[in-house]
Amino acid sequence: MREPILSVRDLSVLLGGRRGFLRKTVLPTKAVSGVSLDLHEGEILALVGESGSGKTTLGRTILGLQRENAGDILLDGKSVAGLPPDVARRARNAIQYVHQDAGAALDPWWNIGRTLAEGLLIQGMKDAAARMERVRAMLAAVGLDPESARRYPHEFSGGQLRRVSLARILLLQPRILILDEPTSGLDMSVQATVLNLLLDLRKRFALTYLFISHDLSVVERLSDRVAIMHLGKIVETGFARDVFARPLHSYTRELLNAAPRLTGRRTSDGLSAVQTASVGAARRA
Amino acid sequence: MIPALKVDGLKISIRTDEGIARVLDDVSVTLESGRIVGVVGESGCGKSTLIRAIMGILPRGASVDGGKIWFEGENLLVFSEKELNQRVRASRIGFIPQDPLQALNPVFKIGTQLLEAMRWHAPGSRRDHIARLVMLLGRMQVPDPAGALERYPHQFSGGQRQRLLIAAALACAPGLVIADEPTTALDVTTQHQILLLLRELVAEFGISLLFVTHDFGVVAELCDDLCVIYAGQTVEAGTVQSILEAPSHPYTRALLACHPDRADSFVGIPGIVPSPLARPAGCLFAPRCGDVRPLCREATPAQGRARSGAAVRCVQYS
Repeated sequence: MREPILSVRDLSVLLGGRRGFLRKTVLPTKAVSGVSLDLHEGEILALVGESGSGKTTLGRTILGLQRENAGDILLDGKSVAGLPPDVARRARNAIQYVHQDAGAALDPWWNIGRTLAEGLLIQGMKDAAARMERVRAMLAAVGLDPESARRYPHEFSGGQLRRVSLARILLLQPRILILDEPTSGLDMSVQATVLNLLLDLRKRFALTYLFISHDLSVVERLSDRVAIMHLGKIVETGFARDVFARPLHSYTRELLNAAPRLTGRRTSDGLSAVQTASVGAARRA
Repeated sequence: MIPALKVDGLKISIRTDEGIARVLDDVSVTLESGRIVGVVGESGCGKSTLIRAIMGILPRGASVDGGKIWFEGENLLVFSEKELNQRVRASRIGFIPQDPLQALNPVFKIGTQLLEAMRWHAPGSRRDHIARLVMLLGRMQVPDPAGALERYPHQFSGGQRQRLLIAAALACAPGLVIADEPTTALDVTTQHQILLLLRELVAEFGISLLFVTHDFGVVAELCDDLCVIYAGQTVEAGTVQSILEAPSHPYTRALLACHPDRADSFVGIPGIVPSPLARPAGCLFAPRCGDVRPLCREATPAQGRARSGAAVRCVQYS
């Protein structure tokens, strides 16, 4: 088996907490505790969990915005852990992050073209005309009119804003994308087109996705492998079809049962007869 | 038996700088007493305007061009602001908002905020009100109900805040409750608990529930009846079971096909909801419809009936 492109070993992250001197000592929260993950080139790994499970903190730590307290992060087999934040961020340039709230991540006073070109400028692309050329080509690649470079964020719909924020990140030529709830708050009809775009871009730009989500029905369709996170730990990982067909951990089963399905209403304990039977079968298996 | 709520051919337009926006153009919803009706549609279809019309809180510049809103035998549209406040809002129609944090004032205690509405709209003394709130919060499974009244909104989690607001909606014992996507901001497990709770409350408190959502999964789980709205028009209405088994209108079929449970691949619906400023002639869904015929572009289709029993607005059934 090939070497994973990104490897996380026993990662722990503590958040908050303060030393007590003339005031109360507050112990830090272990937001991520002892997490190990492998991300292989070209795959989509979904990180699933409820709010407060530590999935966003894990994403931010892999990205280098949050320092790890223990453990190792290997990018292409080389350790990039234990560095100060700015050095860490440079070492992990191949990893980029797509924000959950696309609208909030864009400057309302800058037109889209300027916002997108800024990343290229920071990367040292001096020629303004060449920058604009790249921006227009990338807007076309994500399915937007190149002319929309002149427009402002408020002129776009929710689905279009997701495309803009994807274009901005793709201009930086990442190899690994961390997608934080890329479809939350979108209509079902728009959600489908955004997911389609993600699959298409992965092929075209040879990307690897770490897909953070709590929407199980989307995860089931989109991802190759799934890691279920609960209270800072990964409780179950496996191929998506295996995990969804035969969830092993009780928390995974609880999550699966809570997802709204078109098959209709369930009894008050949250399980339909069919589901109870399949869970029973899973227990015996 | 008369329905708890019957919106009949409602038409609403709003004057804007760019012209007149026909936001609602013939919307009809029937909510039978003691049942849950789901109102489904994409953003921009007029779901929120429908709610605002029922509550009588339409934005400035809005005018009602036609239709009736029957509530317990009375047309709400002829009520004055004062009558709505004294006789309808809170006391007979409760409201559960989408974002529980925005609906609560961060600087006042929960008890202060919830009792304020009861002071104006519920009979009885303050002591009765507190007793009822404590009972309701206990029923909503809020831990330490009496203590909760003394706490502030930030001291509750998202799911608990939603429980507080469900209690607030039921505080004055209304017959009708309107919920505007109350679970979209919640985790799946929390959403599931809230949906189960709502189902129980409908039977227990004898209320009728109008539930607005864009998630068919939630509809399948919670609702008895379904009303699909597209571009300000009711396009399909019937029981949830019949529509999920045999969706008739192409828009309903397209929406259902977007649900990950039914989709083979991520197709979506091409195009966008037409702007209320410039609606196309003929069927409003025609530009995005996969099954469009020449007749569709000529005239607005009349309401027909599908084999499933659902009322459908499509030339194939009229």
